[in-house]
Amino acid sequence: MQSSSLLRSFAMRTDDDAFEGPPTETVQLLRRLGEGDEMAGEELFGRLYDELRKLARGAFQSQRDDHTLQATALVHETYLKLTGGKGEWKDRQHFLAVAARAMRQILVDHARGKGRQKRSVPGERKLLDSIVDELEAKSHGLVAFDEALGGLARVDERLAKLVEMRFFAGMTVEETARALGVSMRRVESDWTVARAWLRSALS
Amino acid sequence: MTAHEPEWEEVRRIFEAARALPSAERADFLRTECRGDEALERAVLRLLAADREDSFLGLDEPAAAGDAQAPERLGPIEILGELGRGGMGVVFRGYEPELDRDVAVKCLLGHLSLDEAQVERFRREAQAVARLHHPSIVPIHFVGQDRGHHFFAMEFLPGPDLGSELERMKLGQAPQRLPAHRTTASNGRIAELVADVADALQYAHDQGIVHRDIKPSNLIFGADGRITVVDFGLAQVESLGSLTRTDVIQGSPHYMSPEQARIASQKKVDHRTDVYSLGVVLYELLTLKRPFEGETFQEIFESIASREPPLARRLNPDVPRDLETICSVAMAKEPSERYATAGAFAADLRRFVEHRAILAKPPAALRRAWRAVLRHRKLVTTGLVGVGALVLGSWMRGELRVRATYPRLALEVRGRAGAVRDDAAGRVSVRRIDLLNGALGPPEPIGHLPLTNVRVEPGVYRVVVSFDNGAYAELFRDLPADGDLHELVAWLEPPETTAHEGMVAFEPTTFAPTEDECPNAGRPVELERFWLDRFEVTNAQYRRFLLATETPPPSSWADFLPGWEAEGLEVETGDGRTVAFDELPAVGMTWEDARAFAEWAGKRLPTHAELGHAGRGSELRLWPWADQTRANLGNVNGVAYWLGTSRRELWQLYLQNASPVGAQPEAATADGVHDLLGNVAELTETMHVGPKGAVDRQWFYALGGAWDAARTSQDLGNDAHSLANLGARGASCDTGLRCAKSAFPH
Repeated sequence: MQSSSLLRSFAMRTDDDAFEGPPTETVQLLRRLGEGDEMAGEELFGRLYDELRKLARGAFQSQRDDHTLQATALVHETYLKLTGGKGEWKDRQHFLAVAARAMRQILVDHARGKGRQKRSVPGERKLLDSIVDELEAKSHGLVAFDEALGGLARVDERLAKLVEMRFFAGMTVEETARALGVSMRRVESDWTVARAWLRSALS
Repeated sequence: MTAHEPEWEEVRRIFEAARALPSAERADFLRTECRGDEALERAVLRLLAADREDSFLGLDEPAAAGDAQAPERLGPIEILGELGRGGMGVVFRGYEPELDRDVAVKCLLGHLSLDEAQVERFRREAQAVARLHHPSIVPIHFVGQDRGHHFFAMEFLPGPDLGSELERMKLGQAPQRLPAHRTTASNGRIAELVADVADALQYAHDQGIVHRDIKPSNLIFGADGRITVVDFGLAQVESLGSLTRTDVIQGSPHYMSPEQARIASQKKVDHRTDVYSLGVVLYELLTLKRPFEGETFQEIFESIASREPPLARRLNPDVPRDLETICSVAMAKEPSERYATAGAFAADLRRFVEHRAILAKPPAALRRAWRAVLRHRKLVTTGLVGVGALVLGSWMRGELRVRATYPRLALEVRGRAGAVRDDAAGRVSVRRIDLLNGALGPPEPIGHLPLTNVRVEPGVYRVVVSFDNGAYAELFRDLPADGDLHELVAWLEPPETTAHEGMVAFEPTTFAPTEDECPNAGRPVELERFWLDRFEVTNAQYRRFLLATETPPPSSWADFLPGWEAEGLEVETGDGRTVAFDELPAVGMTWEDARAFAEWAGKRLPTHAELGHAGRGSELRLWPWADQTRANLGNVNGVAYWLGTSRRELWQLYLQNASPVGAQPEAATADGVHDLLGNVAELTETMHVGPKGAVDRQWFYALGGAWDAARTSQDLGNDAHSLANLGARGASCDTGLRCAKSAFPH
């Protein structure tokens, strides 16, 4: 997929002719989630998990070196694929929250399995491998980090969500702020606290 | 382990407040905040110890620099946080789980660990103190080395130290461990305290150890309230031989003895240097003033060597005459005029406390001795000039920086065509900016043109150049304590009656935003009369600036707009249309280039409050335009892009979505200011204020949202306060500027 067309589809003008047509199933799930339907969230999670993995397993090729960017691109590509660009601003916020959780699950699963699996098909898991390698280094061990993050969620759920979004889905401060419905400043201060908490939990 | 689990909200609150403080103040703060709740204090300390920027969860966005990296463990000790640092060592707070005790750990600074001589000095200190067993000298638990870190563990003293007690009293606050200043109890308590220190020094002197760096911050209250001497880092140990000359001047200048300051004469420094320095501490405790101050180290040393300090009673009439005498004798210029031993000093202080006659002679005799010194002043001063350079070199890496590190200002005046105008006459003043609310201090004159080298206190200023022809320039500058010469350019604008054409005047007012997002939330800002551009700065205007000043263009112009130097470009937007580039608002410049543009135009960037007031008015309206029922005005289109979006795509999004400036007259304010909400966000000269008032000097507010903002109040709330980076990357594809100017700059 050409990324320039991908970008144009992200233009969230609700009055744009290009976006006419019925909302996709995913968009409907997002709206149900927005109305507080938790079942929709679970269903969406499963869908995102599968789709993210499928995309990661080969369809997506990137020239970029920065793996965090790749994670972000992966999430956004998934969004496009599942909604056909028909989501609205609010839908994308819900999407990002669920996608970040799915992304975390995928990467941690991948990190767990990495030691056991033989890399039989060269290049097949290349993207996830490279993302996981980088996150392993940054987190002082992804599996332990995931457990620590679970601990943080019990102390302060919003902080854990924020780490999911920023660390696993590679979202920027601004994107995270929008998705969580808080200010950028709040995201920055939350990030500082979360990072210190996680480091002390891991040391 | 206790089962008590501290409240998370409380832990977080104290952590965030503490991290905004300098590390040296954190221990005191924690003690006050945690009120003896040890589990709470430990939880906060763990967070503080874990709080630093490094590869852990490293993200590619810039963040404020934290403390230098602390080890997580040193031998058997868990490191919990930094207590303070000096020229050669860092002192950490630590916890030794095996013995369940708090400790203070002094660790040699990393880069010094490679220097054998420094390691030797460090070990010498440890050995020296380890030999001392006295209730008023901090005991050493053990000396160690761990992964290249040399360290020793001492008893942890909860403090506060006398330095912070003095700071508190100087600010008019109540000290924690001392009676309030100028109360009946205070003189006696001070005398007892200093006598205890003098006893400890006498003991150390008896063991052949001279401390040589007695100062308030090295005198710390222990858990039992007893004053304790710490930091024998500069100690001279008789049995270990003398130290080199540069070592000797590593004390703190204000508390140094004349013989320490006069080392060029190779005068021997003995135990009486400690008597002198403790005398200075006594003087400061009694008067809340240091006897000798100066702009530079050299000036301080000259004062110490040759000047007579005001008698203590002149500064504080409540000081008893005997105590003043004791103080003067301890601080005598000539070691032979002082108390011969620290013990004698202590004994006289105790006589004073017990209302007995003191042994010291009244200061009249001393003043005669001082006059004798003064007669030789010229000689002494000459000797000191050479020392000055030596001392400065040695001190730059030291812990105490005085005004030698003040930044310096030079001004170059240029005419419109860029030619240097040496003939320009005028005066220059500075107005200090309160970083928390952007308020301007009163103008302080610093000199006349030409201005080549004027020292100012470090700070963030608006430098105002008032030319004699009536024009004036306003230059926002962050002048850190770097001692550097900052060369500013002021553009001499010919006085024109039409100078404010294209600008709208705003009358003096108070801007008091209520949202939690503002740097000055809850703190009203007084605005003086100012002018604000009607329109955002266009590409045509910005191009003229680039060509006139030979400033490199924004990277997006350089990469995607070949031939940008030409006027009247019709540019393809990437979706089949073309736009008249000149009319679009300029974006993509760095914050510094935006400031340079404003100065070149004879203006400045607006402040957060000015832009906020222009858009929202004193009634804090939601939209800039007058018709508050119409929410859908303005170029606010919610066009989204992502971190993964390429720069070329961002450039195209800008071309497709930004409107020519002033294209939406219905969205202008009643005052006639266009595009305050939407189109492009606008840079201000207001620095980002983080949680708990921490100012981030690398980030500036950019207000007003842009074409990529979504039309929700939440999103506008965020966008209206998004931050622009000062770094070389440049502002983004949605951030530009408009200019302001003060009506009366002073």
